[in-house]
Amino acid sequence: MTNNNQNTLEKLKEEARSALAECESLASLEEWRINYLGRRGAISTVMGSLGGLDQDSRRTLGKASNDLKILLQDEYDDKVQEVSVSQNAENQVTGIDVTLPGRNPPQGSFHPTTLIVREIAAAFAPMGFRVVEGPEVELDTYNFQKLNIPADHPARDMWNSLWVDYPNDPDLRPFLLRTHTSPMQIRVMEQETPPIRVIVPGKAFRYEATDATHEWQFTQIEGLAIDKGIGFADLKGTLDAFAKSIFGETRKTRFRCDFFPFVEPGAEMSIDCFKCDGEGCRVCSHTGWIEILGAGMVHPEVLRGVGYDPNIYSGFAFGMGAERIAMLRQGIDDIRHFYANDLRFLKQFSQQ
Amino acid sequence: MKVPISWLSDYVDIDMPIEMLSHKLTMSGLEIGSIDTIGGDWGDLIVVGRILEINPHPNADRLKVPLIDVGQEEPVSVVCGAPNIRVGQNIAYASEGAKLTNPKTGQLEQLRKAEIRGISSLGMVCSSMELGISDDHQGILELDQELLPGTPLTDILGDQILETELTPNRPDCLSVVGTAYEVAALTDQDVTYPDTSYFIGDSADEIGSVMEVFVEEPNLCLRYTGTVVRNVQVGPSPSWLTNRLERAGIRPINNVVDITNYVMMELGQPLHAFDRAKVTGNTIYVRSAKDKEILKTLDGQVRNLTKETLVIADVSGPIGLAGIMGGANTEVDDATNDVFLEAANFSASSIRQSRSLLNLNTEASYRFERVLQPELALRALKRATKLLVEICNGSVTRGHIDVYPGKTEPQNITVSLNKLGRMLGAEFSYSQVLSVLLKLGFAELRQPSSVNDLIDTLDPSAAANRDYSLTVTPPYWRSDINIEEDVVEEFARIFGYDNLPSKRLTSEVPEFTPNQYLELKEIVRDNLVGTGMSEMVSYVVTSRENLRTVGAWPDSERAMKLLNPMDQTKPWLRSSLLGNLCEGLARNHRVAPSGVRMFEIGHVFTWAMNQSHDDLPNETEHLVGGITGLRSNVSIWQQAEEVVDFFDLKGILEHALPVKLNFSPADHPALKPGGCASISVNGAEVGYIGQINENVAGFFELPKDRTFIFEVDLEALSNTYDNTPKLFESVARFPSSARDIALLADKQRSSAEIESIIGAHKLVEDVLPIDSYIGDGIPEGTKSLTYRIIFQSETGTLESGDVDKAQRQIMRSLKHQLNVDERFHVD
Ligand SMILES: [Zn+2]
Repeated sequence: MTNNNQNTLEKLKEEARSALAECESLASLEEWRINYLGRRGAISTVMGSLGGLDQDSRRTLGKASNDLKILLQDEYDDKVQEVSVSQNAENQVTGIDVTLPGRNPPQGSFHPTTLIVREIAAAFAPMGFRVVEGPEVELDTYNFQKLNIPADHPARDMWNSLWVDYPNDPDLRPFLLRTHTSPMQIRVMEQETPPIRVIVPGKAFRYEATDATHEWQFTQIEGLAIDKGIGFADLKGTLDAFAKSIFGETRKTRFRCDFFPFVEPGAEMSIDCFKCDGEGCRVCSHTGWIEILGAGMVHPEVLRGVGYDPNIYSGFAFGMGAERIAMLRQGIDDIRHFYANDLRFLKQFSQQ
Repeated sequence: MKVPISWLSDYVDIDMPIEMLSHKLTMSGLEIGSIDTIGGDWGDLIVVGRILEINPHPNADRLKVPLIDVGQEEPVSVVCGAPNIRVGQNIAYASEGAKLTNPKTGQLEQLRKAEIRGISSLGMVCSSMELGISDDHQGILELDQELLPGTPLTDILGDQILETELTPNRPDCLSVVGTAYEVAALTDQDVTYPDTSYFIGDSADEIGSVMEVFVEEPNLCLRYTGTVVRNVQVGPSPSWLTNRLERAGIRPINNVVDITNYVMMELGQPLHAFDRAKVTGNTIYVRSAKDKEILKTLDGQVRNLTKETLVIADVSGPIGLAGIMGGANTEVDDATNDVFLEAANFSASSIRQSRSLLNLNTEASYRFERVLQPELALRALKRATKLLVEICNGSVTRGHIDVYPGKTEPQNITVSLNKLGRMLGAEFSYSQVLSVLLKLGFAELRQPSSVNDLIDTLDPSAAANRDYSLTVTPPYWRSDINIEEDVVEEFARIFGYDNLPSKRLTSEVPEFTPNQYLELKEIVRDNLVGTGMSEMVSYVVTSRENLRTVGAWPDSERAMKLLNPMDQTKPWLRSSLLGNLCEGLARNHRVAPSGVRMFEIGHVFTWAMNQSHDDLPNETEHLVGGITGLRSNVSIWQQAEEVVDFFDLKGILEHALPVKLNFSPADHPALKPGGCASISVNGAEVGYIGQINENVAGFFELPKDRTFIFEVDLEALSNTYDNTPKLFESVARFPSSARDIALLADKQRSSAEIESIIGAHKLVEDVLPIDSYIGDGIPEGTKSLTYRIIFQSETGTLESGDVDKAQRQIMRSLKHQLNVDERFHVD
């Protein structure tokens, strides 16, 4: 009886396999699955008929039919896979042309100034500098006087100002569009206590004729670090690290003496030209060096003015033009592009 | 300032290539903008020539054919039209191939052999302008009689000129001697100061007996020195002097005036010479001008004076604008015999005020307003007197006038070497610092050093830790050295910033306090760009029409205006960004009409109520955005072109702002009635959104049927922004079920009202508007709204009977509260 049953299983196996081999579509495969592996299919029928056998035969045949079920299931799975792939291949002939362009959602873009400000802020962030912002209309006291630039001082000629008409008292001229972001040095020092490390991006304004490298409205990025024991070496090291982060690890920096009334000593930092590696080219006006920013140790008068004791606290400040840095790095030939709001310009800089 | 190297070399040796010197000066703070070379390519092509004879030109009356000895065996003959050519004269002769400036074009051109009206000309007799020395093209340049024909001209006139670009703190470098001190310190040389000694004859009068000066404004005139030089012979200056002045950019006038200018360029002190005979009386007054006084200045302009202006006057009235320009009434001319020479010091801020009131900038005012030291005045007076004696054969008076109300004791500055070391990040010895300062003209006060020595002897063990200090007196010509830090900079800049150490910040990192507002702003920016919006940045000023058109004119009391706008048509600080946005949309719509999406984040300004002069005005940050044209900004295949609508922009805004916004119908002067909503957050209004009205569309040239804009007060909105980490909410355990219902409501009824009633039912998890319809098939004055309602219970799976019951309850509420009926069953 057992042998007979085993033969039946063997026959069933042969029959099922040849039937599977003939299946060419997912529909015929599904039909095959119901016939052989389904709940009322051949294997289930065989297994259901084992009830009348003795225990040994039941165990042997039970195991054999279970093995067969696993084997056929595996072969069925393989066949389904095979048929699916070939059906997909057929579809390609009559289906979509995948080379047609995708329907992109509209592409937005960041203003290039936003991008460079974010990048510069990110370069200073690991050094502990956080971003603060301030008003664009400033008081003369903050824009000049507290920065050691008294009225009727020729240093004021360094910043030609756009003055606000103060209707409440035409004899006074207390307000102006800030000529630099430096008044925020004062506001931050007045509001906080050292240690201070801040970056201040923002608009600044000068009453100046515009040309390819000068805009009357531009973006400046101010920096300030105040603590006990900060020296010129910290200024050099911090700004050198910034320059390498923005312009590349191999860049060299150079510091020369310069004058700003609110710092002493004052400095200007240049980098060796990234275009020609210092050989001299159009970008660096054939000098091999490119001016990047002005800096210096915060003037003791400025510290005293905000109530800090210059014998205890010292620090450095710096300022740079954001558009200028973006122009240098990205080869933009005219600063006036930044405020023309032409999408053909604006859309060039965001990474897609 | 232009500093000729030939002149500079009088006071300091130049022992390195000019390019290297220029680099050193630039790095130490005296920026050299350019180096001009005179005669760099003259070589043997331009030489001294002597006119041997002058023959007439056979074909032209005005031309001559001189024969010139150029140091060769054979003289050469050229054609020349200069009026001042004479036999025996020494001139500059250029032969074929020489590069000369064409006076007509200003360009360098190579000289070629030419035939001028039938006579061939081998070379040319040159003017100053053709040689590139000055702008003088009146006639040919005459050279000194002693020069030998054939001498290369570069040996005589070749030079290099440093163009220095001065920072406002360094008026001392507005002089050749001041520049020489910089060179000396940088190259370890000493400065030879110009000679100020001169001969005083036995018969000379005492100055006090011939002239006196009253300074009536001792705060504005810190020092007044003067003298009288008699019997000067006024005439042209010698060529060495005019050469120097011309190279320094000063036009020679006559020897007396040239000497005052020469000493100003040499020492940095402005001087003025009056014709003594034209001064009425023997007394000079330094006083404020009286109202309605006038003075014709040397430039021929008649100046109306006010009491703010300081004048030099005699009994008859003003004879000069103090520190700015002399008066025509006392001008030195060919007939002048005696001169009254002035070297004074005036208050910098007073000169700055006067010159800006008079709108008159001169070399003198430029120097005075940068703060000159009064100590300079007498030295310059003596130097000019010496030159008047030697060049103009003048005879001096004995002594000089010196009224010195602003005299102060020399200021000593003590520098702690410890502090200097801390500031510069390295230790420097006493002698190292001192030697740099001495080269710059500082004087050492010996005493502290000997005190140090004494203390060291008494307590040798503490010597190593002692803070040595250095006490110095700044040079009298420097007005920018006042505190210890100034002296530290002097040492550092000469030592070289690049030679100082560099290190990373090692002090304590400040505590980090996140700035919620800036965080929100960057999220909004990211989100807007993510929806396809492009960021723009515009000017903060605009026109009144612009602000009026977008309904943002704050009224005349509150609007802020610039006194000196860049563009007279745009003097107003913006009180809204909408106008700038519309300009941006319009500009790009014109070039790419298919679709434009833009936004801007920027400040807006108004005066505060009762604005005081020491508080800031109202300034807040706004966000504007707008879309116009088609949904896709490029035409995409197989996709119908669709025009943007209100809900496109509303969706962008809801997506971009990370706070819950409420919209309610509203009116706005820039937006179309019925197509406009106010935006509020937590009950506070923060902005508007809508379709532009015809007025705005017309003003900015935007399509009115497809342009939508919004403006939001970003700072007001940020108060409700909550960036605290979100708390977990349990996920529903039982399945939800959805029903669509179509409602018939009054046309004016807002969807938000209906949604809030449906949403109030306890089994409603969510309600979404899915259709809105007005037209055929429904009664006039009504609209059909279809909602999908998601029912959900927290306690079990809802049976269809539960949902039916809930739906009936909702319909009763809608009918009762809003008179809204069910139109038909959708399912
Ligand atoms: Zn280069």
